[in-house]
Amino acid sequence: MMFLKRMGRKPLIPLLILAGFLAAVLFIAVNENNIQKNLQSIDQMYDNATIECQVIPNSVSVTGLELSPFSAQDIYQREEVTSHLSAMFSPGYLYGDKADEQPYVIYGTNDLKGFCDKMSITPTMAEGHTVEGFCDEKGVCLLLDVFAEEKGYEVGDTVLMTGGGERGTYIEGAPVQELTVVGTYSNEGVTVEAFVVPESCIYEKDEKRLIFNDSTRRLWYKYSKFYFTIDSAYNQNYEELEASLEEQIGSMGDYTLYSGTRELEESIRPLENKLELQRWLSIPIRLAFVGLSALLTLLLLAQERQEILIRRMRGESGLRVMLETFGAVCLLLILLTLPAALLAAALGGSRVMLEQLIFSVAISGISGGVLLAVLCRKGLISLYQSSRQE
Amino acid sequence: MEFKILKRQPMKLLALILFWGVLASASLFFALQYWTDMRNLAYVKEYYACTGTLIGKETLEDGSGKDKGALLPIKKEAVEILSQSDSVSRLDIRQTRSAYCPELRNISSAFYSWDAGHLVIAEGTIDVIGKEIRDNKYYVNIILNDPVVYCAHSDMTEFRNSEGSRLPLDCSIPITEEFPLEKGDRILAVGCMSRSPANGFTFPDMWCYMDVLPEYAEEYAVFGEELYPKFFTKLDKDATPEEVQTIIRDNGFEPFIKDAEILDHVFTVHITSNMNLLFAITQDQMFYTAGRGILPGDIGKKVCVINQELAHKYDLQVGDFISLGLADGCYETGDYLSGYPTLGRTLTMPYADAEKYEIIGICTFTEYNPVGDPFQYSYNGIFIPSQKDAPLAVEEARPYTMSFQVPGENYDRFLDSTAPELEKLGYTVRLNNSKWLSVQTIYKNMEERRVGMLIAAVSTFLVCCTMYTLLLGTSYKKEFALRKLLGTDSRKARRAYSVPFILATVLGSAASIGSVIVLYHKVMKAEIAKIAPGNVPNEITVLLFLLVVTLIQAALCYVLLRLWSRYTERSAVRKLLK
Repeated sequence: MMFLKRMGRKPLIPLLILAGFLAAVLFIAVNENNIQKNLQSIDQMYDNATIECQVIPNSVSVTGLELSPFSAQDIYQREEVTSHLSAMFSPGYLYGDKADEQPYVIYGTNDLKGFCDKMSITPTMAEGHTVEGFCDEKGVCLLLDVFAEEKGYEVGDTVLMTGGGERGTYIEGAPVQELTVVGTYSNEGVTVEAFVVPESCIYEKDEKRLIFNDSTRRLWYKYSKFYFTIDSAYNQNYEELEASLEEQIGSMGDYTLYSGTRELEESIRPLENKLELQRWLSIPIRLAFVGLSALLTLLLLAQERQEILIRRMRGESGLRVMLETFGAVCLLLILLTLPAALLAAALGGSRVMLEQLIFSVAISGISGGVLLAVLCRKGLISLYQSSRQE
Repeated sequence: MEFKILKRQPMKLLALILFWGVLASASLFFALQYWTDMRNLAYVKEYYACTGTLIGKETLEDGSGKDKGALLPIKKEAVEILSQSDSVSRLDIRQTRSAYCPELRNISSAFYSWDAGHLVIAEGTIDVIGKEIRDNKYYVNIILNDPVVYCAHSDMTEFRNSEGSRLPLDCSIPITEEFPLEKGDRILAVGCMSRSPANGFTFPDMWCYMDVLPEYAEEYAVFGEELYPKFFTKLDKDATPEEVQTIIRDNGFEPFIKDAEILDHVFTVHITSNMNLLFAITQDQMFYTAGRGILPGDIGKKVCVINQELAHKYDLQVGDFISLGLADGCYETGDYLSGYPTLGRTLTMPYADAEKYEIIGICTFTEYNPVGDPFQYSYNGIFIPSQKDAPLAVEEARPYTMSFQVPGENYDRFLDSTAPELEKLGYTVRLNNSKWLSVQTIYKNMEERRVGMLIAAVSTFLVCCTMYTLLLGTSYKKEFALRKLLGTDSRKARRAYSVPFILATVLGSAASIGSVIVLYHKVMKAEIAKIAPGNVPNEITVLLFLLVVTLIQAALCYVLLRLWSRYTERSAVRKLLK
């Protein structure tokens, strides 16, 4: 009680300790709130990010990718893949009265809109047909506008096509397809000759069967472009999924996986790393606050030298003086913590703030205890001399 | 005298030094964290910036099917508008240089123009003569058996078919009159070849063709004037090698043969300050299979990024070194800047002594147009950083060598103020798409929280500075009072506060700055490289920053101390001595 009365008469250092606790709680509260809100923002960014992947060939090839549709199906049927865009590149020949012995390029795709975006072509659909619905139709095609004009094809006409083999060679007796013209397209400087058809004209996905392929005819139907999109639920741990996809794609042949993770690598991950650093840097700041409160406690106890001297001169044992003073200091520290604890509760009361207060009190108490032990073990004369220095 | 007084009560001073040291350390750590936060936010927002260039409105096609607007130089006035615009954050003009690499041979390819692989001079005996109609023209095909090749890319000399024997050369010559040669005739032929012709399917066996077209010869005037009349010379069946050499000399082929060996080692070097500004990167057409691209932090360093094809050919990896000797300029091949002279012209630029460059990245393409897209790069393209303080190479500004960056928040301002001025000069502004609008709110909130954090930190440290001042003031108020009592003047009396203040502040600051710098050097620098790559400050910059922060803090404490000393000057001495 006497101790607390004396503190009341000289309140500067206790008030400074209180100010230190309050400042620490305020700083930590704002810092933690900052970190938590930023983490939430990062989660939001992960959810909004789209990872589009592409299978590309490892070695130089003029025709680009030559990926088997059977292999590609194993990729896009994975649960982590939400959608895919494929373009099948195949040589073909006109059949019947318009036959001209020239190989043309047939593109088969599962998503006309995506295909047009990637190839920079602009489709014009006939009435009753849409870009979105094109790939659900059977036996239809779009023709390059200049090709259609040259050959005299119009919307609604039937084109007879037969597939070509590797190197664009004509295969005698290859199956013939009848394709109805449902529109035309123009290109913007990119050569996409002459036909675009739904992939189902060439490849039966559900049965994993190339429609015109058998062992006697080397008809060539391969994906020249293959993109797929990852479910955003896997964005945060994409590295694991990427490793699995790379292994799968590597086992299919001489291919590489390209993952469109630039947004993750250049934006989201650096933000995450910064938050980690922020957490890490807040530790020395928090330790500094603990250090300040411990230092102030030591200064507080240094002021008690005279009182300790008087009590020892009166015959009280060093141990008793030490324990009583230590108890009083701890009580004072706990009392000073209460306003800071109330402030912490008002600001959200996170575990970190509570830990900071407990740690500050503990370290202050321990350092105060050590100083008290030193003072109480000192000889009376040196204790007298040091108290006179004040 | 002051120091003697302080020495008598060392614990007080020590306590103050400790207090200031701890306080300064905490504030310096926060300042460093705040500064890092700012750099990080600036860096991550760059991803959402739009990258742009200017395309000329010339749409005349030159017969090659390429749009001139993407090739021709950009006017100096347009570059000035961009460099002075406050809505443009970065402007990069990549310089193109021809470079010689003594230990590596380039990859035969036909990017944009005959990138490498170029001229072939060979003689052989006609084995097959065939005729075909192509593009409504009448061609004669000649197969030369067992050709002797005088001039060709090294890739060609390694060609083999599946049986392992040497492949014949296949020459296609357009004719308008009766063909004068027969099977068994011996000829010396000049043409150009490429390993991967871009106009057809690839074949499992290697093949090459020599294709000399009058249209081609007319397009390249020198080729036409110097070589075209001589592309086809009939030789005596018994002509000796010396006689053939004489014909080669008389036809003026020797300079080309001499150049062939050097050209095998020539690459196109692109000098850039930031590969994140390349359209091929921002549009996900090019990516890194290993390492990273050139960043602003690499400026002045001897590092490079190479193509995966080259890396694969020579089994090169990140961390390996290659030698490059740069020429002072480059060649212009069909309006495209390249390290290679136009087919049919000789090398004219000397190369400097080769220097070592460390490979920091290997790139490849997701979408690649082997015929050429000016915004893509050849397999023989190598990227190196620009030199420190290098001026903007305005004279080399072309749509495909120049990029500028418009941060998301400046987009509308750019379109309203800068874009119209550029359009008046005859340019179309090409900007890539950005996701900025979808993340704008998130970043705005992060900025607001950052400012809130700063306000909270400043308030906290103000409280702590006040604590320090009060502690110092109360510790030395008796000394001040004694001096007043003894009749010392105010200035000397105030030294009771100012001397311990200066000592404690200087010693405490030195300790705290030293410890923060050591921590920065050992740990934080590597972490900041992950947060803001290419934007990591060096230790000197950090030291200066910390000094400034400390000085501001000390100045604030000094002001508080002056207020305290004024208060104590007015207080009664008895009250101060209690």
